Amino acid sequence: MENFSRETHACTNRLNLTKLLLIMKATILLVVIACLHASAGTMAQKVTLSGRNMLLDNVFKQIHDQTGYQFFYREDLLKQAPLVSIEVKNASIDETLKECLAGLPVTYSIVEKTIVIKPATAVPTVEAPLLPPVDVEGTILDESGKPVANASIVVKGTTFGATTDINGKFQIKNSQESVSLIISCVGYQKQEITVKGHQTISIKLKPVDTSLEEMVIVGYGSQKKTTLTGSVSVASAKDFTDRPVTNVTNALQGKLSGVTVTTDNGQPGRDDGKIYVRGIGTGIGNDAAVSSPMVVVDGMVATLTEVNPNDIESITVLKDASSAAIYGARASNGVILVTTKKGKKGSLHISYDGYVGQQSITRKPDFLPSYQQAQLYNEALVNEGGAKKWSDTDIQLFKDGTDKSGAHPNTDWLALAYAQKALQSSNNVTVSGGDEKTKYMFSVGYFNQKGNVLKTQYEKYNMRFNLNSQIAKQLGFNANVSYLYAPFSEPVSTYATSFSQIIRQINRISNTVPYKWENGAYGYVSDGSPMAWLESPSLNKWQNYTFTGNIGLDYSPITGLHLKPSFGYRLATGQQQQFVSDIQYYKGGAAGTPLTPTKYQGPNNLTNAADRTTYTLLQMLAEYEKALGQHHFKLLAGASQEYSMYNIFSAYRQGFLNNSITQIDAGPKDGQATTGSANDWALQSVFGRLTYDWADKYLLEGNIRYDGSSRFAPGKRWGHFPSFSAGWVISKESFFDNLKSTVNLLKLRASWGRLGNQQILPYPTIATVATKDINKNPITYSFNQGLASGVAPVNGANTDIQWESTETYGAGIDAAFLRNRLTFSFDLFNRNTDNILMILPLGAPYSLGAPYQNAGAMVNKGFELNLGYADHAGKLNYSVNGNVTYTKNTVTDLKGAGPIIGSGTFVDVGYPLKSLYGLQATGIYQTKDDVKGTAVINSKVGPGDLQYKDQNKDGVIDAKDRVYLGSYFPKYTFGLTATAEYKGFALSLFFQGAAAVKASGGNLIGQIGADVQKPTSVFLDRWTPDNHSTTFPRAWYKYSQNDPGTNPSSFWVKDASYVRLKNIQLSYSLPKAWISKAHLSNVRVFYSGQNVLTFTKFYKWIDPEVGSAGSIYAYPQVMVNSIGLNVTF
Amino acid sequence: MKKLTICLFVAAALTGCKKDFLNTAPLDAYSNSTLWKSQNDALAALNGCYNGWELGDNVVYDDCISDNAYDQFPWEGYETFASGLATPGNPGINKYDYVTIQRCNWFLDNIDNVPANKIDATIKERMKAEARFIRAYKYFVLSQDYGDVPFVEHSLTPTEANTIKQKPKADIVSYVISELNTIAPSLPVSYGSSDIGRITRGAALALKGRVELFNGKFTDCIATTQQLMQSPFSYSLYPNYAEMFRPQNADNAETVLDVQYLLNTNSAWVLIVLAPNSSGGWSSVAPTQSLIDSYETINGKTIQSDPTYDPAQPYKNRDPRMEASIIRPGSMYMGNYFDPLSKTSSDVRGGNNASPTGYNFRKYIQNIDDFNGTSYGAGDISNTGQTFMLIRYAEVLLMYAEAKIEAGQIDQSVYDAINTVRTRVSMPSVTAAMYPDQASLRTLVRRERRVEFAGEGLRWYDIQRWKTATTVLDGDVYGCQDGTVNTSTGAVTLVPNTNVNIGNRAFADKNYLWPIPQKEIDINKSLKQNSGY
Repeated sequence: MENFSRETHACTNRLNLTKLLLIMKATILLVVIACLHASAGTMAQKVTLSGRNMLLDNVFKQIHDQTGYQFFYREDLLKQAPLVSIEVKNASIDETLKECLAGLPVTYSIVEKTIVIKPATAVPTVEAPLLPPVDVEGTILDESGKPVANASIVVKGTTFGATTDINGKFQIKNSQESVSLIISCVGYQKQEITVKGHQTISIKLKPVDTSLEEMVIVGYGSQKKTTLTGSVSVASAKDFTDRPVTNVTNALQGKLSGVTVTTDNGQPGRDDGKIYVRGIGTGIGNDAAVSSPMVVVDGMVATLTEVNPNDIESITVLKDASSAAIYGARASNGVILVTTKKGKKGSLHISYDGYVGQQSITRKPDFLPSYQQAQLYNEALVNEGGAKKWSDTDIQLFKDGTDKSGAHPNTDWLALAYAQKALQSSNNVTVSGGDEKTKYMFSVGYFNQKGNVLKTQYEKYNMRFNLNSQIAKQLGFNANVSYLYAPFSEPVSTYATSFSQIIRQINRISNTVPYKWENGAYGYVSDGSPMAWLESPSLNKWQNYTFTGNIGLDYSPITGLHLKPSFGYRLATGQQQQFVSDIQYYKGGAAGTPLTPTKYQGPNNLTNAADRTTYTLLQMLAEYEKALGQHHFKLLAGASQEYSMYNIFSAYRQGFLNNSITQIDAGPKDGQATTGSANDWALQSVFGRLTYDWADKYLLEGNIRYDGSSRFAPGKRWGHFPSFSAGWVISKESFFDNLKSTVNLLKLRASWGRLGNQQILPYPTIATVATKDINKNPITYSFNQGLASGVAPVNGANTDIQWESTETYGAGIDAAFLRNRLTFSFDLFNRNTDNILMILPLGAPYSLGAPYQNAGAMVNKGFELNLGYADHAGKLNYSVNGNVTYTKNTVTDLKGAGPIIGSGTFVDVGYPLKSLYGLQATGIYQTKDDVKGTAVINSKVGPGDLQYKDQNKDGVIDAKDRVYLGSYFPKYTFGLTATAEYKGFALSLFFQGAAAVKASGGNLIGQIGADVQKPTSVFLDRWTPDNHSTTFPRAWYKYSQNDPGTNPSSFWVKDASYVRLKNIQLSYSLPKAWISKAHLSNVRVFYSGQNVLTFTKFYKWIDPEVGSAGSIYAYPQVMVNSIGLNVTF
Repeated sequence: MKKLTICLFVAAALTGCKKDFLNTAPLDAYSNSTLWKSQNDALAALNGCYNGWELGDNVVYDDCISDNAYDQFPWEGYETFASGLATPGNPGINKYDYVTIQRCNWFLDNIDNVPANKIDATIKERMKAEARFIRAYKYFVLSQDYGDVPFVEHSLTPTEANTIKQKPKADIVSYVISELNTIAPSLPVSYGSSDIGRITRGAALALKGRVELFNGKFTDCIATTQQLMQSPFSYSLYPNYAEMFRPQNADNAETVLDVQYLLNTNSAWVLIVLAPNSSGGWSSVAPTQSLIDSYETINGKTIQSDPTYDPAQPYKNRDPRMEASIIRPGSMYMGNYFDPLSKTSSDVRGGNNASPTGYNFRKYIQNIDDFNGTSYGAGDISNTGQTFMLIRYAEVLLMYAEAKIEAGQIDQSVYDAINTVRTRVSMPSVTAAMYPDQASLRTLVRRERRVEFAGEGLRWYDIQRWKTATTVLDGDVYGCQDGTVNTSTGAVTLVPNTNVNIGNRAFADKNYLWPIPQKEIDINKSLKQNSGY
């Protein structure tokens, strides 16, 4: 008899070349034949555990439940183990094991997703068995029939056993009549087999399906990942806490397939990205139906802004009709489900997460120095038949900077404006815990972000309290309460009061204008001085308060049935104080020049406004779950109603004595104004879902939802939204057994469904008679110098409108290979949005605000691909995860209204929604002869000007020659995350980008002019009689034939594809041995860089992510470098 | 606990069944069903019809599309049309607008919903007549500009608005005349103080006269204008031509129809386009040399026919209306002698916001201090309470004269009417001896209209109906001559034949009508573009 109990071997399964080829083949095959996807959101590999005097068994079970890892150990090994007390939060498995096995005479190793626990030292030989010995021999094979080496076979209840050799063979001698053998091997399911007498057995192992128990949050509930039939993407907590992001939308960027996030503003508090799920589904025309996805936080419709990224447990994005249909009403653009962290059973658990970082502007237009600006202006004037403005002496003075008076400066306005040291910091403390009955989570967070422009700031004070309690055997109670206080401030201009006006003027005021003259007077142009505004007491402040509460019960009168009534409420209020200072400008000059008043901008004025949005949700859910043999049924029925009201009140006074006032009462009544408005909407819904599976193998799901919206007229207001989906887990079929060692999971999914959208301005069916016209000007007249207030119909109505609906069908495939090291999923989708709620231009005789019509249709076709690989080499763990989304958007119907032409853009049938539109440039005229005989835009066209294609061959270049110039919505978006971990050090790189996207530089390339234009360096290679440039036309000032603003053309449209190292992070977790003395369970420090590197062919000073949304009004994107700390007690 | 649960369920069920839960309505605006409860509601709705019914901008700017003035700023659009470059895609100026017509239609569709006991029947009739006048006025202007246009008398559905066809101009003219004829008796001859500015019977008749004259219905026009010269009307010319346009003199005995403004709330911004750069203006509307030359000499002769006219001193001894209407080199304006000729002057021709012709209009900005610290303005001429006259009694007189001339009914009353206008500004009377026949009288009355109404937006419509554009609009546009201004004395020394050429205009027959904006043609496929565009 071999006494083998000394050691348990991790079994090995050699990969050979043949197998690799096979896998590759299978992969290719899957891609080709595939029809489908679901993001492989991996299960959290972090463990949160707390408990006192627990059995190790129990601890292991919890670790398994949380991570999916299997334990492999000899039962007797831990039999005498003492009870353990453990306290870990978000700890790695390694850390957790170290904690709970501390002091025990064992070591452990982690192989794949299996934890093998072994004696620390050789244990003494065990005495003869108590049970009679058995005599068995056999072979252990993997699912494809190949021998498995190093599998262990243990006689149940003993320490006896054997391991297989390289041929998978084993022998246990001295066998008895009947014995149970337990066969286990890393990566395979444990098997128990009863053997009678002497036998030669052959056993096939089944691979461990670790994702089997993974739960995914879905609409109104959760579902086992394996039985999902819809298309969902999941992001977990670590996507939000590991990276210092300012808000949740930005954290989602590039992380999830099928989800495109574009960010075009870096201003603190205004840097939320726009989220599109599987392309742009709607949103044609003005005040178009909202195209952003619906956001549900802990069961309540909400916004991502109000969620502290640190509080998030998981985010599920429901992408196809089948998964989103349960939210029918507003789901056509996808649904983002946010689940916040909940308390877990165990004692008090405290963690701290924080970081501090510094921002800087990613890219600034590289405006030329003043002397070149002056030279170019002279050149343009001469080109246009005029005289030079600046003399050679002037230009020399601009160049050498010797004139200190201010008459010949080289003012770097951008450097002046973006001068603030922009620190941002975040501090979060989370306390959680609970017992068998009650669990709680409480968190507080403070976030402070200053911008690079003086006085820009955004702060968030977050608080959240989540409570779950089983108050009686059949009755549970839960409450989620959160509070957000978010003060925001920005400077404002005195001219055309706004912050964006300051940015605009900074981007256009010439370097030839002094910031200040030598005598201290501000330099200014016709609109004033942006620096004078910035340095004045003008300030716009908003203080926003959001309170959200959601309470619910879970009553289970009989097994399997849950009745869940709930009530949700949100109150969001804001208070504005906007003070606009008046500014007196003075005559500038050399030192000593008297400060003679010149231009005056004023009067100073103050706006105090208050707005409030309330939202109530009343909801009832009933769930019933039943298993009949292999048949599993789950039924959900629910009803809800929502009501929301918004109102705003604003008061204005002007002509304050000085600029130190923040309240209305201090101002004179003359010229005062008040405004107030309000609106509301309501929604009622009934919905149901049936999920069915047979043995987790054949999956079916059906959803139906009825929604009634106050936005539609009675009779049109109810919409029904059905969906169906089916799945087939092929890898569970018996005929698949042979492939199982390589392909661990193979699932096909298909779905069809219809979703609705009604997110338009309220009351589209009621014609209004108002006191202000469509441009918000009061409808008044005067008779004999007396005011006559009036009313008039303003907005037209359309009582025929109904739900916009999106029909989506798609199919997907999920697969896992190499014992789940390689995961793959692929989805094809087709979204047809019909009856798009849009405002079509109407003939002048209508003369009211055009009402909504169900007028458009568009199609989004595309695919999503996810690939992930995770493995280790010795102690180095590494992983690579990538996703690609391709979306082709086409407008398919506009009810004959197309083309709808904007400024440099258009919407028309057959083209993508976000299309650039303009003339097609064919080159630059080099000589007068080139110009002769060609169609031109006007009689001034000459050498050095752009040549345009006369599309309709009518001999002139005009509006009729404009063509489609590409789409500025990226066809491809992608993300790639690579991580490596070694002995507590972790490095992660996150790349993100877009391809097949065009953009126009617009105003950001600069302009030539006197004092409110400035050119960038692209103008340096302009055409001149001496430089026959083919890359840039001759300098212009008044002429518009080359101007990208007046005559948009293909010449200014460039490929705006980019790859960006969005985030790089290096972290180090302190060894347990060091920190345990301080009673800490985890201490991690990290450095993180956001928007670090960008690769693009677009203009090098325009952020490609901003693309065509870039304008001289927009606050640029920022780069953030931060260091942070995570501590768990 | 069970009880609580049941209660919650019941509550949810009950509120869920609330029938009107989904019936929301606008909270900050009325709807047709919440309006029309009283006379005041109707009055507010009528005020809505008055809001923007006509604009001072049109009065001030419209001469830029005639030979009277030139607009140097391409983005303001007037020169685009004036120089013949207007296209449907870029029409320059767009007056294809139905907002006021829609409001009037809505008002007239609904006013009868006010309960009879809540509204005075006479006032209701008057209010209807006011709205019908405004609607008729707008249709007249639309058909003048665009010829055949869509015609509606009721609110439209979106589909109707996008498929409606044009109505021939002649039909619209008949409609306008018939409307004015019908409503005139319902309108009062005059109003009490707080209602001054509302449409009067005189306005209805005067407009009717204008429509008749413009459309060749001369005998009708004679009859209509004659009514206005007798009881119950008591119109007369304001004694001082120059002072007539100042805000404090608004609503005088000469006013037949005007558009009213009120500082801060219903303000007119447009005066800034008249003023010279030195007075904070933009000089958008620059009078041309052609206009200057059309003023007679003080002897009642044209400059061509008066041997005393000195081209080196062209501003001497001219019709006083020239000095009253125009700021020219050497004019005393706001305490300074106006100097567009010196390179160092802020009013130099070609300078920023300075007139390219060397002339600015003075009419309506006779004294800019009228808008500084008064009830008409707080120092900002882009926010004023100026009133702009649309029809004044002088036009009635000249319409009468012109209709008589065109109808071949030349008698003393023709000379009297013209002389009434001339005498006010001390111009010599005209006689049958000087202007014996239809042709000479036609030239006279047309010149009289041009100088009397210069800067009042009438000239283009006169050119349009007289079909004289190829003569007066085609060709180069000139400003004043080179020379110097003595800024101490106002004396000018000019070099004859050095008039600055500021642009070239080309006129084609198609330009008698404006192009219907391409946008409208794109939307409504049944619209027919005016020929030539």
